[in-house]
Amino acid sequence: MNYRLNRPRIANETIDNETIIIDFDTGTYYSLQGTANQIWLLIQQQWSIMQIVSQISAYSAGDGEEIEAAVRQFIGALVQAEVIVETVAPHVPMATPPQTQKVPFVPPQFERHTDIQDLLLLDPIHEVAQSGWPLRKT
Amino acid sequence: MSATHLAATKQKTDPAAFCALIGVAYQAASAKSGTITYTYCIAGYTVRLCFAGPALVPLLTPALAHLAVPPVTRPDLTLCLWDSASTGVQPPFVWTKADVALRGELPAFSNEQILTAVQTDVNALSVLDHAQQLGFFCIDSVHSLRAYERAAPLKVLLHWWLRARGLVMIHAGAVGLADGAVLIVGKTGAGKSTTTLACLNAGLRYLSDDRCLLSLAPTPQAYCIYNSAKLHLAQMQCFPNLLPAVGNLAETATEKALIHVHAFAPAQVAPHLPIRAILLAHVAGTTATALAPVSRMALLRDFVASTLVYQPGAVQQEVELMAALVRQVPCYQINLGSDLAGIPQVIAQAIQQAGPS
Repeated sequence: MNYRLNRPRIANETIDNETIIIDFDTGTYYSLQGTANQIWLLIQQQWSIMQIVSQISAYSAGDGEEIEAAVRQFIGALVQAEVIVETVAPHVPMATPPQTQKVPFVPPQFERHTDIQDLLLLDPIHEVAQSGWPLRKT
Repeated sequence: MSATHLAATKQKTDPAAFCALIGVAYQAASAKSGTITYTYCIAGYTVRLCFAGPALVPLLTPALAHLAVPPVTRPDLTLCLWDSASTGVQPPFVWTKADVALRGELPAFSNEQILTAVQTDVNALSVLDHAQQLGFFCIDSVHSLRAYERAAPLKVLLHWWLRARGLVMIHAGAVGLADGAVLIVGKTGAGKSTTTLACLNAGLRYLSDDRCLLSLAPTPQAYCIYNSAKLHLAQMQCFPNLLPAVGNLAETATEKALIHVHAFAPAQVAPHLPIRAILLAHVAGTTATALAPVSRMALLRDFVASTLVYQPGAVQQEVELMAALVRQVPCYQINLGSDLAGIPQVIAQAIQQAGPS
């Protein structure tokens, strides 16, 4: 199974090995670091889950089953958050960095931030007045 | 239900038809109340504002006064503006609660060419037709125009139109010296306005207290689109020489105090300046102000989040442009001290040290 970013709803940017993902529909934003950021970069190239597992395993010292379970759980969380969606398009192979010494596997995590969402929801859409304009909260 | 309302309801899935109905409503308002036009040059583009009647003129034009130019035959963009209360003309109301997205977008009335949004906090409707270089802004009453809207008038329409020209309206203060500026970013309450007013008082050039235009090509530039600044009255009293410039003292119990820098210090308003550095504002609780290293991602996160929070129709392109800027120029955290007089010196040093990017 391959995935693609849920455009135009989702915007993302990566700087210094950290990614920020913004969900324009909800105001939620996420930050990814470490393994999560590596997986994110592979998702963007529409790698399949098994290809991602293989790639992460090649770089990581850890139990193969544990790595696969963690990658699947992480991608599942991104799907559930509607940050990515399934696609049938195959990934476009891109050059990958040369393999370096393996580092201990750290399960991928993404931080969810709702402070912006909270601001947006402070002013929900109100009922419509007789004149047609929304009624303000009193 | 009016005939116009019925017609618009039938055309709900056709943004072009909806836009045409808005145009008809504007023409009706203009026919009843007359037309007043103003022309501005915004980042090199000429924009004509056509007011149906005089009611909105004194509220929307002061923030743009520094950009006023003589009328032109063919402006790059024309914006038609009216209020329902003074003209007696309502826009065609066809949307319901279910039609309005999180930041006021009306997806059912929008497509690639036409963008539509309502600002529910001020009861305003904005419609932009990219193909015709034509936009409409309708508000229920001048009494709905809160101080923050008067400080940054027509921001939704201008944001949409300028974005298509590589300019992004960002949430940042901007002050500078003669040959360069810093952006001051951070969430609401981080100290951007206080910092920019402290710099204004110290004689630095002024571009923005919280909203300016950004372009990257050929080099990063900040443009002053609004010459306004706003601050809670209690904080504004830290700058007693600015108090006479507050134009809305009567409403400062519930609104921020609003000033227009062009009205009292036009020479200090810089139309645009190269961006030398970005400062992430942080109220430090110290006396002195100092710069400190900052993670570019931490800065980008606050920069992007606070810019896009109220921006209807934000897109990936805007995030990419802001990230590109963060990669290109030095970034610092500015730990703001309570000694306001010390802030401008630190900022001036940051500009001088950064030099041309």
